[in-house]
Amino acid sequence: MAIDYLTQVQLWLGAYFLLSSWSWLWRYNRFFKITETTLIGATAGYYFVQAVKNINDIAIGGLLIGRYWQIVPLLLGITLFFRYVKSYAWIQRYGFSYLIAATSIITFRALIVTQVTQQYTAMLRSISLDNPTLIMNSLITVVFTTTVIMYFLFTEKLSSGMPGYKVINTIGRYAFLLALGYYLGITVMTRIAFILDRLQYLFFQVLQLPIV
Amino acid sequence: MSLLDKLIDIPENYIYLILAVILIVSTFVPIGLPVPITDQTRKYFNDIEALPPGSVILVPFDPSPGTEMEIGLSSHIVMKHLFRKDFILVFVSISLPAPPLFESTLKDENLWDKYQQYYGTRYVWLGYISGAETAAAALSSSITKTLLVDYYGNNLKDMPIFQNIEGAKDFDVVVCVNSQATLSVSWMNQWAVPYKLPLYVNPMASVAGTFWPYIEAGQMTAMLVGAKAAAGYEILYGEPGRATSGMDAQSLGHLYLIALVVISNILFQLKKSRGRD
Repeated sequence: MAIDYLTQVQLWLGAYFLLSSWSWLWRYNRFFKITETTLIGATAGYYFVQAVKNINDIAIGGLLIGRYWQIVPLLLGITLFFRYVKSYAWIQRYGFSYLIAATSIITFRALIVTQVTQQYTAMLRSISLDNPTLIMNSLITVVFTTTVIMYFLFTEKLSSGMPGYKVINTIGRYAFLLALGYYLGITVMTRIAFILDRLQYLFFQVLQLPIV
Repeated sequence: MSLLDKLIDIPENYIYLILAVILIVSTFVPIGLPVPITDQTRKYFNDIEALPPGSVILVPFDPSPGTEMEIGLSSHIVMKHLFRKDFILVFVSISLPAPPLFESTLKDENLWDKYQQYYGTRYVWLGYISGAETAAAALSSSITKTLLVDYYGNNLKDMPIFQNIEGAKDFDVVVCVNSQATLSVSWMNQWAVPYKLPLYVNPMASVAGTFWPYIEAGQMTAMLVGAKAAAGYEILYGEPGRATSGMDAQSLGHLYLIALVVISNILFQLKKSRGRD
């Protein structure tokens, strides 16, 4: 497959940045440093352009068609930059407090339903005594949830006199370690996928090597 | 230093080197290991397949370049499926890296030219909207009141697609292609749960564990977890592609790491028992 000149340059630049990133495994070096700063610069530039586009499309565009109230969020946004002027830094509080208040109201309203009530209901619903497998599942859910919560809530000092504390503590610790093991396993799975993607890029797109 | 100590103190570089050799060799010489298809992948595929043509779907599209082998692969195959089924698709992003990836995904899958004529009637790309969950909340009440133009500057009110679509109440399904777990949760909080919409998510394998409680509670309908699920979806779709071709290397890599875990635990126990002697 013929690849045009521009794509070739793009592919080889990609290969250079990839290999120089991996060179960090050997040691921190000049090539890695160039790639690191290029990535930071390109990301900052890209983010800036997208942010300006957003302000232009949503806020300025709204003002131009007569939504004059949109001057309020614009001004509140500008107040955030006052943090860089020491004597007027207090002005940023208005922007920040609005930002935090609006976000908190919107997210907390939903969180109570999705993270608390519905999760609690689902946990209770999952308890079933219909067959041995479900009984075992329910038992694991209840025992593990309870013991892990107790493991974190009650410290050694507070509960050393509590009967059965050591057993609860041990079960809780093992349950927690099982969960951590699961997370480690799937994280490794993701990392291998990332390496594979870059290997495929290097061998099949840049070098165009054939599969045996 | 005994052999046991030498094995326990083996330098990390050798471990990584062996992993690299396994991945490279299996990339070039696939041995055709089976690709198991999970119930979640099957449910995701079957549900999308069963939706009637003309269903209105919101697609929060938030992959990032670093997650290409996980979110990228699943987003490619899911996008192909969604376009083929003649749905009404509204694409939007609440994370900054997504906009360039939207066009490249469509171009890679030959959807860009093929469906260009339907832009504004069957699909629309709203681009990046700042504000994360607050943006999702604003869009749920009214898309055309929150935004004036799409990513390319076209007036939303002039588009035929928005003649019958206002906010979340007019949608049938949400299909989330997000590289960050929090973004999918934002769409769940603001769209799926309050408006009782089925929510399909494509998380990375490393964050999928956090989604199980939502699946169990019915707040999320099904999920495609990482490259393995993308490979399964490709097989169900009938077009094995990049995800399927990488599965041999991925499976062998996993087997190698499992072997390392087992061996290191045995060595650790051996050392411990000798210490007691």
